[in-house]
Amino acid sequence: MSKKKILVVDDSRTALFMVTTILRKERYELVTASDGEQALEVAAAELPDLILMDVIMPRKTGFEACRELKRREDTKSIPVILVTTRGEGENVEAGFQSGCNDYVTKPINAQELLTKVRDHMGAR
Amino acid sequence: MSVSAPVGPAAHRLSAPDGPGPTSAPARVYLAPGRLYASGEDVQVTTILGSCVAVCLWDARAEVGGINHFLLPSGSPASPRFGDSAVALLIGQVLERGARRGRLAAKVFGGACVLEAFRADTWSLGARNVEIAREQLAAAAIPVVGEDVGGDRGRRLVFHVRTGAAWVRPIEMKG
Amino acid sequence: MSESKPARTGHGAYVRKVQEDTQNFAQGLIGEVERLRVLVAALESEKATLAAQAREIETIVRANDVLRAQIEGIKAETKAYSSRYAEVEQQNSNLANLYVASYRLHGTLDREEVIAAIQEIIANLVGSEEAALFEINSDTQALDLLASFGVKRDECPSIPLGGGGLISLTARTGEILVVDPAQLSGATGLESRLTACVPLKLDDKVTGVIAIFGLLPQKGGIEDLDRELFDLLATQAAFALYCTDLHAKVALEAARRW
Repeated sequence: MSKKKILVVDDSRTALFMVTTILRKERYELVTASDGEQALEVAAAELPDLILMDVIMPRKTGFEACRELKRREDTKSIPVILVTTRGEGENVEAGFQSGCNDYVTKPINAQELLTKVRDHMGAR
Repeated sequence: MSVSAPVGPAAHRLSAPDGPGPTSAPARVYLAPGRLYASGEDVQVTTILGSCVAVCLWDARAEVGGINHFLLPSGSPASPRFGDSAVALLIGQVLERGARRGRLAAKVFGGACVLEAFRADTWSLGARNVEIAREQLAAAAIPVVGEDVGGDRGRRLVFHVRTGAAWVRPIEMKG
Repeated sequence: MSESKPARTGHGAYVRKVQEDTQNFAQGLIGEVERLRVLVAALESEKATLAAQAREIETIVRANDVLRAQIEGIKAETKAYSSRYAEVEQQNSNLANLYVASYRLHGTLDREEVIAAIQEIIANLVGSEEAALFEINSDTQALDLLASFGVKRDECPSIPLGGGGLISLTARTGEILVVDPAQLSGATGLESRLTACVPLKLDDKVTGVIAIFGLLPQKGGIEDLDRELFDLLATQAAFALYCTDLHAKVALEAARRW
């Protein structure tokens, strides 16, 4: 079976590095983007199995990018987990309204992230 | 295990975004994931659930209740983030505020599974979260009088700690 | 049968009839007894079969109990393994955090980048979007603001080293301070929102302080991992900042020589 591919999107290099460090040992193929606009380009080109995306980013927020991904025929079935800094209700609700499939909050906890990623990848 | 159909009183179905709610205006609290909240005050707690699960507990006579919002079925060290300790921690909190064990009732919400392919799979994270909640409540001999679990949508849950009234609605995609 | 001797003839016939009936009855009884005997035999055999089945069931029940006990044992073992696994995963996570923080602090010689890295570490790894970075100004003996995140600059005036607050206390003691709400009773302004103070240290000499204010709502409080991160920040952040200064001086020197 070929490696599952995950697109990680975050404008913070620390966050991006953190997520890729956690996921790397799980043998996933990782591709990254550093803003919402770039996320759309990479998603269309790479068609990943899962997208982990920060919310507050330049050029296009995670919400906007998620909405766009869910509108496009080729990317709409890719599950999106939003990574939110602001865990408040309105924010998380806006995430679900933008079509995201689940969310995790910062600071990222490896246990939580891995469990959610494995769940979405269908790996047990 | 079926995790799709809501059972128990229909009172936890939310019609309008904020529901009818209690007559006086209760204080509003937002419960962040991985946290828990218990009180004997007139407080309405809101939380948003994906694959996470919230267990609501209350003693209607003592008018004391509480709610957790856990992310994973189990984990260490013990924390409200993990189902295997979050339920016990919540029970401890409501008892501390004057609830009696024998009078506690529970409602369970959340545990959505976002991928259609895995929805029937009892091992999805959401389903495992629901299962651990039921297991822990059964072990503590607390009846589950209502639940709205599973499905493929995030949920917005409002829980009134003193009365145990709960309103839940799925969050639809917009725009 | 003649009508002239009805009584006599009737008597004989009656006796014969009784005899016949008795015989029939006896025959019937014998048949009944025979049937009963067959039935008893059948019941006996049934009983034996049932007893054998009962024994079998008992054996199965006993085996079941053994299996159930084994399953319980396996369940307990699985639970122990999974909690051990979770612990290891947690440790891995902690190490990943420290690794990422260290890598980010030392991945650049640009001062602004180091400051950005400190901010990102506090936001992404600790979980606070309100922090201020102070540096000791040895000329004025005060803590001057170097950068602030999520708090306004004018909320962070210079703090005299001899001041009474927790930030200057941290600069004097060089100890990481995780604030107990009781310590904040007399505090005013920004200090009243303090969560933790991390001294920046170079060879045990304090060069500055990172003040962390409010935590993100989903963050319950300062955990063990955060203390490890604070330890790392205390030594490595100061060192990284020092390196950028050194690098700038070297670069300046090189430029002058050319």
